[in-house]
Amino acid sequence: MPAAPVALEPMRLALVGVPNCGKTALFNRLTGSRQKVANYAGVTVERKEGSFVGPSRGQRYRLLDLPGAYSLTPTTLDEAITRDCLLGRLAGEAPPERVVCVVDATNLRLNLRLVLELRDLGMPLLVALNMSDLARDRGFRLDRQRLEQELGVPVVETVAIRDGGERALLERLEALPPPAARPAADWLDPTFEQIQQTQREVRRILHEAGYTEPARRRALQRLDELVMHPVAGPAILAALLFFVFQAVFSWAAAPMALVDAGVTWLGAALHAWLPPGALNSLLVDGVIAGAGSVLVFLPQILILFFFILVLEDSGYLPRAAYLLDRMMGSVGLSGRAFIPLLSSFACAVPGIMATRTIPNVRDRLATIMVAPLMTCSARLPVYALIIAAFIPNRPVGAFNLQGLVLFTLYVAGIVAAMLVAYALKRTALRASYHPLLLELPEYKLPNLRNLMLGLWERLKIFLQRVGTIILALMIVLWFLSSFPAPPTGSTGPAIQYSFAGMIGRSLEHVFAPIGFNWQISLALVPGLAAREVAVGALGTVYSLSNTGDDVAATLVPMIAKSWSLATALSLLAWYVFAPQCLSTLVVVKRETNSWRYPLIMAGYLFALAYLAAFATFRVASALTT
Amino acid sequence: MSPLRFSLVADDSHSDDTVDRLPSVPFRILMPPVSLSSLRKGARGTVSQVREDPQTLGDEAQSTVSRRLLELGFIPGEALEVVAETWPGGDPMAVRLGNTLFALRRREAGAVLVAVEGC
Repeated sequence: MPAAPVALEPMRLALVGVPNCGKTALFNRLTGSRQKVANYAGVTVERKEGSFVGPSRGQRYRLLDLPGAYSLTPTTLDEAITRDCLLGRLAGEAPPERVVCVVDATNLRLNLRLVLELRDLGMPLLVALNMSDLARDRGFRLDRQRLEQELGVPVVETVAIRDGGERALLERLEALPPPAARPAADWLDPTFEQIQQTQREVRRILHEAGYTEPARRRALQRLDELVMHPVAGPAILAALLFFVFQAVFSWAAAPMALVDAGVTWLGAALHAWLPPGALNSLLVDGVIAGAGSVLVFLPQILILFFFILVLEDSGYLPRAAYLLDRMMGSVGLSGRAFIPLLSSFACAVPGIMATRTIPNVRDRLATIMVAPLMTCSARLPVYALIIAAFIPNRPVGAFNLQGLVLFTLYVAGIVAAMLVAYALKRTALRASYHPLLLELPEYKLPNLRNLMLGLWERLKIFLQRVGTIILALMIVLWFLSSFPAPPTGSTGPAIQYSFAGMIGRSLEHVFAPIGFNWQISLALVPGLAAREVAVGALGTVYSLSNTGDDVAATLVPMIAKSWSLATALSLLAWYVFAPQCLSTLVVVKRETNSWRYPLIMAGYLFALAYLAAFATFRVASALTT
Repeated sequence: MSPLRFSLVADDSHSDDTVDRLPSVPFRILMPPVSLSSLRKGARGTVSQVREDPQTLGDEAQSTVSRRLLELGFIPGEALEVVAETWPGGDPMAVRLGNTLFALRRREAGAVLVAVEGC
């Protein structure tokens, strides 16, 4: 079988498009799960690259998914990265050899100007016309060949949510002439007159190609009437968020019980099977009791991410930003801050990275500084543990008391964030006025494939954490907790005499005023690496505090009988602020390029946590005695 | 949607006039153009001009509100409609431009002059 000679080097492709054009769906379809997510050198803009092999001649491709951009004149860091990459101005990033510009067929008026801007750069360009089923269903008309003629670049139809179209796309891509020269390094931002000329050219081309814009669907317009209603809109938003947090608690109950039972069974089986001794204790008390108690929260984290991904994919989030703009404006934040802050409910790290869509530096910094106050999923294990141990599981009206307490904790985080933002914008980050200009994309059904890939990514990250950082810390903690061995003739549990016991007791001096015993004080130390590790640490500490047979007993009843309610509430209050998350601080450092902001952040969070826990403990102690 | 836009486009492509002029549309525009920021929910019209608004939209000096408005398609002759306002104060507002919906504050909307339809 004769094969055409194939270049050994994979061809570098870049995927460009305005936000919401269906670019990510095409990227996912072309590359499947062969994706690498990293950062561009020096900035926290996420760099997504995937590889695949072409259908015809075995040509390999490396596809770079550039951040969505409306224009080559950037207003956000995302757009700046896209421009710099295309113009070859990005250090450590070779400019792409071919550019694929994805355009949404239902909204060519908005999409085509970028195509003309890219075409004029003189790079080999191909237009992927994203034909959603929506477009066909709604009386959309377009002469593709004519469009191709008018644009002077190949136009290929793709249906981003179904297979098909890629083959044609790649064949046309391979037929493109190679880049003639380096893209215009002297590219200048167009003048206003030039922009208007380009816009007129877009309209002329669309007219020539017989383009009829599909009508917006009546049902969706009615939905917007409701969702963006000045009164009903915020009510719907509040109800939606409340539902998500209730679901995180109630839907996860069954799978969590299953994971818990599995971990307990494994621990008991291993305990019985291995000869008694140090190895037995390390595996059962250290690894399984420690890492297992964090693993239990996987279902809740996946459910939370599921909802965030659905909201993101459906087009609802920008509407929420619109609804909240005034409220967020009252504390000095932009409505745009809503999206990063919502992501921070899952994890502050992606949340802080998402602040790159906020155009102004001071707005962005203020958002970064309050992002860790949003209740991230790593706090969920701590909340869930304490709530399960101390808050009765009984119905309150249509709701559940445990769910209500959890909701209150989330609200406390939000209120704290607003107050901090207000204080920051009044003082250090005082800034002049910043505009809001936001596209509200049409609603669409979330794409199942994107949803699954997104959840899969989260699952991988979580398991990697459990398998690496958390596991390692658990083992270290086990050593600290097991050595030195108690002196002969001692009566108390062995851990009291260990290094961990000593550390815990010296820290207790600091934390006793807020009601923490030495076990909690000790658990806060490995909790520095990641908040949820505190739960694993408590698992290890309490597991080692018990003698022999109680090992299999779970943590919940154990803390329920050894802590007072005031201590439990104080720990909850501590965790509303809880500065201890190294990954967040590292991301803030990288994001702001200095240690100043992470240090300020850690300092103010620690102070607030201590104050809040102190007040809570004193009030609760007074009320419960 | 309205056939108006296409005929306008065709007109413009053959003319050397500045784009700021009011398009000579074949139906009644009775009032002089008003600022988009003064329009309430339900108001319809066509863009007649985008004024210079030096407010930067990001941290780079080139990215001004006016530039981004033009890039997003707020160019003379485009039909728009105010479809929603928030409460209280009606700020920000949501505007449908052609087939796309945008959220913007009244202050940004001040840069867009609109020939209001009807009355």
